[in-house]
Parts: sequence; C-alpha cells; structure tokens
Amino acid sequence: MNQNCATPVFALSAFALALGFATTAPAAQNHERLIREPVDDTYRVTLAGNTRSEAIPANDRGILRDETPMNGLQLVLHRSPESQAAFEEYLAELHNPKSALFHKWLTNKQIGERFGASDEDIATVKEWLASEGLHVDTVSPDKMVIEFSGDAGHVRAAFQAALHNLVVDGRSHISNMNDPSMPHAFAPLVAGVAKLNDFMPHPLNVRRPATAAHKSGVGTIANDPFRNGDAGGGFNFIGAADLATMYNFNPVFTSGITGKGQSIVVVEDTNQYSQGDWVMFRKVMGLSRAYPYGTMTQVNPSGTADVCANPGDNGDDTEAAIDVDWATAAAPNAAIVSAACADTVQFGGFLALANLLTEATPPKIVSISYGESESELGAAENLYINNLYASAVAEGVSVFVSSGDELAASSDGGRVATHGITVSGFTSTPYNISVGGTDIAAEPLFETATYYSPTNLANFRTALSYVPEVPWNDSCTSAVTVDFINAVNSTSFTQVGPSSFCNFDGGVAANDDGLLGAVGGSGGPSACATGTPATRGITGGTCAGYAKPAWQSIFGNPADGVRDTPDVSLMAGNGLWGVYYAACISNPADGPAADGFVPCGANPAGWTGWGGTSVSSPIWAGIQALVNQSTGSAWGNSNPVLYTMGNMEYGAGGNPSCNSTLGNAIGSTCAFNDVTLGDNSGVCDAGRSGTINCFLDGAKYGILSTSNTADDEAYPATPGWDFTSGIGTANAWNIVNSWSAAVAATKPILLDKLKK
Amino acid sequence: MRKSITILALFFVSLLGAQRAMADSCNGVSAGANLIANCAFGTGDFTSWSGTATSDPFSFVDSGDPLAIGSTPYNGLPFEAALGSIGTTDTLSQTFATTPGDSYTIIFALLNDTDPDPSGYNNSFVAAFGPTTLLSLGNAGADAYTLYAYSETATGASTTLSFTEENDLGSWELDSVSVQGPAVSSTPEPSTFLLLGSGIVAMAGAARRRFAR
Repeated sequence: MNQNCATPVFALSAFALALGFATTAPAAQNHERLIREPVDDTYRVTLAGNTRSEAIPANDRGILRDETPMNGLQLVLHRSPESQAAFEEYLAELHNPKSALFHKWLTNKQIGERFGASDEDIATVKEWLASEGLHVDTVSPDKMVIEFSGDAGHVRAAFQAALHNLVVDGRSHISNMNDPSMPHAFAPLVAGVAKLNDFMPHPLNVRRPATAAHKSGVGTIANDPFRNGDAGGGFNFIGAADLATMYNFNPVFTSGITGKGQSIVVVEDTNQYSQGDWVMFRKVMGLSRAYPYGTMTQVNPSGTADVCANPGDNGDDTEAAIDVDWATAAAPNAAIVSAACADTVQFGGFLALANLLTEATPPKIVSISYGESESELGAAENLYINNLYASAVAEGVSVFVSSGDELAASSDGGRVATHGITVSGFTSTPYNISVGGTDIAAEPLFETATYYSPTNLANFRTALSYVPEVPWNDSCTSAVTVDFINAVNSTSFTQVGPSSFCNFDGGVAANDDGLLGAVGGSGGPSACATGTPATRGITGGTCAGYAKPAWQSIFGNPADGVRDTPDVSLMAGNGLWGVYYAACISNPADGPAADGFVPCGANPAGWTGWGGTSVSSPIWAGIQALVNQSTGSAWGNSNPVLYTMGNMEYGAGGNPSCNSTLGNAIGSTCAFNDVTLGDNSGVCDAGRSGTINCFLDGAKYGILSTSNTADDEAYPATPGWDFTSGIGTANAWNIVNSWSAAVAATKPILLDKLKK
Repeated sequence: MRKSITILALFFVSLLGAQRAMADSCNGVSAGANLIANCAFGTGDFTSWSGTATSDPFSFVDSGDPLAIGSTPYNGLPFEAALGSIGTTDTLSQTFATTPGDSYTIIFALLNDTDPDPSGYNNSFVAAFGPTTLLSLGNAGADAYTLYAYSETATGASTTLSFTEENDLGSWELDSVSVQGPAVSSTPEPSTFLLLGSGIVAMAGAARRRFAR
C-alpha cells in the first residue's frame, strides 16, 4: 500500500516543478517505502568504506569490553534517487530568484515530511535496533538520522563489527576494525553508521611560530631569512582595524551595515574558556564602543535531533576563541553564538548544528573551523555531513567551512605528504561555502614600506591599504618562498628536485625553518566523498567526488566534473611573511605564558598569534552577516551568488585590474581580489603505499603534483578561479554592494544547468 | 558698524573664555566655589587634570558610553571621563590649595560599564583625598551612575584628589567632581580675571583705534 503511494507523490512533485513551483510551501507527506523485503539478520550487506586507516594491527590494543557504553551512534539514511533528485531541484528553486519558491525556506520538520524517510521505514529500523538491545534516542526531524545508543557488546553483535581499543600517536581510541554490516533489507534506506570510532576532526588553526624557539638556524643557508621566525625578522599582527582596511570593510561599517540584528553561529565541541577574552578582544581592537551591539553567548543547544551534552571547556577552546574573535571583527554589531555539544562518536559541533536546525528560528549563518579528509571520514560520515549541510541550506542557513590547513594534502595533517591529493570532507559538499587561505605578500615582494605604517595607527592598525596576497603556503616547495630565499641569498634553489631548497642539506635547513611539511591553505577536487578507497586516507578504489554543482562554473575552474574547493579565501597566514592574526586566549592550559596564554594585556602584540582557515571562515561568515543585514534576507547557499559575482568580474578571460599583485592599485570595483602569484603545493615523500601524487624528480623530497613523473604542481595560483584561493579574497564593500546585481544575474546560470 | 560688531564679538569671546576657565558647575557647587577645574570634563578632554590616565589610550573623555547603563554622562552633562586602564592602574588627579584643619566636601559621580571576569580580568577603583581613602571598589559589577559624597579635613596647604583605577574589560565613567571648602567664595579665580582682563584690554584697544581715526 505504501509503495502505491509513492507514484502519485512524485507525479505531483513533477507537476509542481513543471509549473515552475507555483506553490509556495511543500505540504505533501513522503510515504515512499524503501524497505521492501523482510528484515533477515542472516542476509546482510556490508557497509563498505567505513573503517579508519588507523584500525590496523600495529595500533590494536584489544577488544573493547562488551559493557563499554557507546552513545550518539547514528544511522545515516539516504533518500531514493527520485526523492534525492526532487530535493535537489527544490533546493535549486529556493536559490532561484525568478522562482516562486525563492527563499521559501523549509523547516527541519518540513524537510522530513517532504523528503525524509517514511515513518513506516523508520519504525522498521527502530524495531530492529530494539531487537538488538539498542536504544533509539532520537530521530532527526528531517528524518535523515536515527540516533541510538547501547553497549559495545550489543553494537558489535548488531553490526557484526569488531570493536577494538587503539592507541594512535599516543592517544587512546576506539574503532571498528572491519566494515560493519546490517540486514540487506535496510540497504535502500540506511547508508551506514556514523560512526563506530571516536576519531575527531582537527581544528584548522596553526600557531604563530615562537620567535626565538623556532628555526634555530642549524644547518641553514648562509642568510636564512626565516631564522628569526619570519623573513623580515619581526612579526606584525593583524588586528580588526587592519582587517577592515585590507578588505575594505570600513565603508560598509560607515554606511551603517555592521551586522546589527544578525547572528553568526560558530559550531564547536568545546565551550569558551572565557567570556572575558572576547570582551577584551573587542575593547582593545576598538570594537566595543564603536559597535556596542555586538554580543557573544555560549549555548549547548538541546534540540530534537541529537542528545547534546555540555562539553565544558577542553583543548579545542583555542579554536572556539579564534572563531568568536574574528567573527566579531568582521561583523562587529552581530550577535556571535558559540554553539557546542560534547563529542560522542560524532563531532560535537555537528550535534550542535543539527539541534540548532530544529529550533523554531534556526541560525542563518554558521561557520565551521574543523576538518578531516574525505578519504578518512568514510562513506557514512561523508553522507552525514552532506545531508546535514543540505538541510541547513534548505532552511536558509549559509554554512561557511574552512577549506583546511594542509595544502592539497588533507590526509597528512600538515606533515610531509604521503597520501597524495585529498580534500576535507567537511568542506567539499555542494552545500557549504569553502573558505581557503592566503598570506600577505608585502615581505616576499619587498614592499613592506609601501603597505605597512612603521608605527601603530588608531586601534593598532598598520595596514595602509589592500596588500598583495599569495596563497598561504608554509612549505619549502612554495615558489614564493624559493624565489625569496634565492633573492636574499643569490642562490639558485629550485622548487623541486635535487637542487631544491627542500632537499638542501638533506632537508635539514627546510625542517629547521619549519618548512618541511604541508601547511597552508587547502584546496583541491572532491575525490572520495563516496565509495571506498583501496587504502584508507588515499584517494583510489571506488572513490568518487561530489558532482560539480551547477553554480561552479567560472573562468579558471577546471572541467573536472567534480566539486572543487575552495570557493573563496581570505588571509590565513600564521607568520611566515611576518603577518598573523592576534587572538585573545588566556587559558594557561593551552600554552605557555611566553606565547601569550595569559590574561590579555593592552597590546595585542603580546597575545597569542594564529593563522589558518579557521580564521578566514568566521570572517567570511561575518561578511555574510553584512550582506544579510544589507539585503534584509538570509541566503542559504551563497555560492550561486558568489560565483555569479565572480563571473561578472572575470568574464570569459579574467580581469587583470583585479589582480591581487596590484596591491593598492587594484581596481576599485573588484569584488574579489584575484590571487595569481604562488601556489599551495606542498612537499611530499614516498610513503608506505608508494609515491602518490608526488613528483620527486630524483630527490628524496618532491612536490605534490597531479603526476608522479612530471611537475604538474598541485596547485598553482592562476588568473580567475584556482585551487589555492577559489574565486579570490574579498572586497567587503564591493561584495555587499554587488550582491543584488549578482542575484539578478544568478538565474541564467542555475536554469542553464537545470536544463541539462 | 563693522568695528562695533568686532568689539562686541571680542567681548563675548572674552566672556566665553572666562566661563571656560571657571569650568563647569558641578553638584550645585558654583565654578567659583569648586576647587576642581574642568569638573565635568566640559572641555572635552583632560584639561586641568594630571596623571597617567590622561595619556592612556584606553582612557579618554567621551560624550556618552554606549556600554553603560543609561549610556549618557551624569545628569545630562555633555561629557564624562572614561577610565579603562588594562592590566595596571592609572591615576587621574588634581591638586589644589587647602587650609589644614578645614573641612571639605568631596562629591563625584561614578559608574562601571562592564562586569569583571574570573579568568583574570579585574577592575578596581580608589578615590582618595590626600592620604585619606574615600572609596575603594574591587571587581565591582556593572552599574549605573552613583553619586558619592564625603566630608574630609585637610591636613596640608595643598591636597590632591586622586582617582586610581584599573578596568580591564570596560571603563569607569567619572563625572561631576567637586571639592568645596568651608569658606565659599564667589570671587572669580585669577585665570578668570586674566581672561576678563584680556577681553577688556582688547575692547579698549579697539575703541582707542576707532577714536584715533
């Protein structure tokens, strides 16, 4: 009977689509049943691609005791292909300014009613879980997640997964050692379990190197420009006033657009250590009196999607502090909300977001500063993230996510890359705005006198204008770095091969300078959002990336058929070229007093220093708050507008007047600063699995490359869109003012793609 | 005709100057009776005041604190002092002639615009009349303006009224400061005589030039 209901529902949907979505709100209930065979525990299907790469004998510390509690386990559901297609088309209409459904955002419950699993299917799964001795805690209102709990013994039996204790890098973990399985009858509905391990994503921040302790100079070249911490021998922090100057926020603020009335949610798995740190940041940066409506609140949202436990304050509080500091710098009158749940086996930040989405008034802007590579996350977790963001977008939420701090090698955590080209699954979905990182290029271009005031101006500002940018790249393979070293030493190091700086002195010099790694702004093609890698952490096997979204069509973006990251960028350097972000973080447990982990004083030069795309993401979220205030509307997935704006700027062949290298001579109407100099290619090495995306050129250390036999570096900055900075960095005033024109021009792009 | 206007203008300028030098009337104490000059920071700055607060970038004179309860200077005055030293204490003070043994009435208005934070961000405020502490606050919560009044006996030929403060996260707003001695005099201050005199001299000079033609 339920199957019979499905046909008319979809016929009705198709009819509504054909009429141009003349209806204003979805009303029909989805009764399509996907479980169409008896639930037989002996006829099972393996949920492939859901075992961590760390789940190997070398890390194994024995079987997890049966009585060990396992909370927050999540069955991730997927829609039928027809229902998924209808949902995606509906999302497209929500973002089509010519559609009757434009901005007719859904509630989480409406998503479930229209596009979620049927109640009958959910009841069947719940019944099975109960029969296995497991307790169903919640079913998300969008009907895409069933959260359950139980002890390890029952979980092991239900999913026939060997659950073990592991020790990885000195830390204890739990994980399944083999892919789980479930009754075959569930296969059309249940994508997998997210997840049977407790590995968490990493916060995407990088501390400023300590001036004295870092880069001792042992084994270095004669004139090591990085010996004292940065090329210029001194650091220059970015404050809120610098940000406002470089990226042209000031005229936006002067016009009265300050984020007032808007909320920005940063999702975390920790509470803030100190409200006072944030207040101090605003006072010293000159924000509190000029923009007195800004607030910051800490919440542990207890919605209906998940069980949210208060995480207290933990080691990720540095990330949480960076997020709230820099969100308020970009939208100083906005309400900043730090939303956190304790990690279960799921990232607490996602639990917080899922619950917020079930509230009567969900947030309209979210920033996420964490990441993990697609190929490490596993198929079920990737789908969980994709579904979560898709629901957010359907509710009008703009989701900004850091692209990553590991250059094009997200599986390697900043170390010398051995896993090839990978991207973070937190940022690679078609539903989020992926925010990459650049660095300030005044030093490598020998133009500091042009762009920095020698003394502090009001509110510690030293930036005099927009400053040229290059991709953020702390690796010895960076062309900008190699050129700079050669210029100051009259040497002739190459980017790759035996004569490269990476290989000089066996890599000692580069390592001593902190450059023998893959740290910098991430970007690359989605490649393992679905399927199973042959080797975990490495793209391969049956891996496939997300399909290229309709809106990702712009000069410079390759016709690779997949979602590419990042979409946009901002400065994220951690001090290689002397510039970093100051953040007020006083928790002594987070670091030494000498590095600024004390109650913050009157001069931010003594505060903690940071880089990372975890800074650029909340700033972009702040820009969105300015847009939302200016337009009086939420925008859901802003990418269709941002890419349209980028297309307006670049046209078919780029726009030289918007080239970032022009610095203070850049065109006054550019919404995006086009970063064209440098690269985000990192140093790589032959790993246990062989040489992967690494051109060694006869040396020990090579350069990340799309070819093992040629220098096809991954990736160079180029005119227009590229993998280092996406469309580019922001001119906030021009973005806010160009928004409406870009919206008006957005429709043709969407509709053209929909017709295909 | 034009010369007459000039003379009148000069006269009024001299009167305005005299009024400025007499400073504001505070707490019902006339400018002549108030031993504190620029008692409500009516100059828009720290004129007549001394101490480290006058050069601290986080201390200044404002025309209203948007973070404060009420957000406007005390009792409708146009200005107030915002004192927000971070991590250390600043002092704002004035020294004036006193007669040992005489009693003086000290009045000032004060508010704190921000709560302290237990993670190491403090506030403190001490008001002193010479060696005598009048008020001592530590880690006080945000509040609205409060008018504090004291009566103290001078011990020297001159006395310093000082405000020593730290407010890591916010500001102390100080306004309407008065010190009044027992012998209230309506005699204008010497500086007032000077300014009035300069106006009269200017008028006389202008008149002489006019008559000399």
